[in-house]
Amino acid sequence: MKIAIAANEKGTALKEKVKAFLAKHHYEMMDQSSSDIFEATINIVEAIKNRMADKGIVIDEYGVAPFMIANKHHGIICASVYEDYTSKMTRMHNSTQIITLGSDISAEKLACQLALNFAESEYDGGRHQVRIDMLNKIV
Amino acid sequence: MKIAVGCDHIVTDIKNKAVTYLRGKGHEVIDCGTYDVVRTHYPIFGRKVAVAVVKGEADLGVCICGTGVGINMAAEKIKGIRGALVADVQTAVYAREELNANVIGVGGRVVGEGSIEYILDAFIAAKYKPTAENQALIQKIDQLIGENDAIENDAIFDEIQKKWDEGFYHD
Repeated sequence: MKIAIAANEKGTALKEKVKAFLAKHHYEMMDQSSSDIFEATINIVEAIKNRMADKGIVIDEYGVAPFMIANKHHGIICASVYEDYTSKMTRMHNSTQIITLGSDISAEKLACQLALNFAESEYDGGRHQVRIDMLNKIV
Repeated sequence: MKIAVGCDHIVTDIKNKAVTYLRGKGHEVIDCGTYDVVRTHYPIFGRKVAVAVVKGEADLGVCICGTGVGINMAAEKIKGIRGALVADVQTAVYAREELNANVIGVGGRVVGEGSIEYILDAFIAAKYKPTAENQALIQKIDQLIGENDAIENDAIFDEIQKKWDEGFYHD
């Protein structure tokens, strides 16, 4: 599985840790960082849309700006993740392709585990698909 | 302040408590539902909160579902919404001060009642602090969605809801 990852300067140190951690777990990592968080997020959105990567991770100070930017796109589902439950459930129930992490909010061990939980989870489909079809109607 | 609040069927009790809490603080609350625990779909309520905010019927929105992801990401897909899904006060304050966020969200299954109250208080009290840099970013975010009928079209989900009612979607 290929995972695209990007950070701005404030997220760089944590991004390097997460990237190395996921690589150690045999995920193929694609780094598309940019000093501009808007550009960094668009890079990950494009990687998902163009099927260059299966999943994406964006890291800045809080993870809020990339959540706003990514979710404005048709077909893109992005989750801000802070704890274990959401990191596992969001792919299963929301068909999430991108998560955001906040480098000032989540420290290395937590952030790496959250990223791994997301990487390992898959979409359940079934009844959850009705909500995804509704999202695709909005934009 | 006028605040629109919405949830899905997983956290109706938590939404009701948030509504009571906000009213107790003197805010005028528009309760967008859902109102019971019958299985429904988070985009319906995320959109309702978002529409109330972009139409100016509410100053701010609050979105709660199990993890918060579904309903907040649905609200985010409405033009003019800048929503933040948070689990702590600092992130909520940042979202309002730096990104002029107009919707705040939490996961009702993952953030406790006390933290939710703190987050709501802090988000509502915080004020946007405009800078040239954050104004440019906000403008770029707002321009990502063009004009569409998602705000005006209250029947937008009818066709999909009908398919759900007919049993098209199942596990």
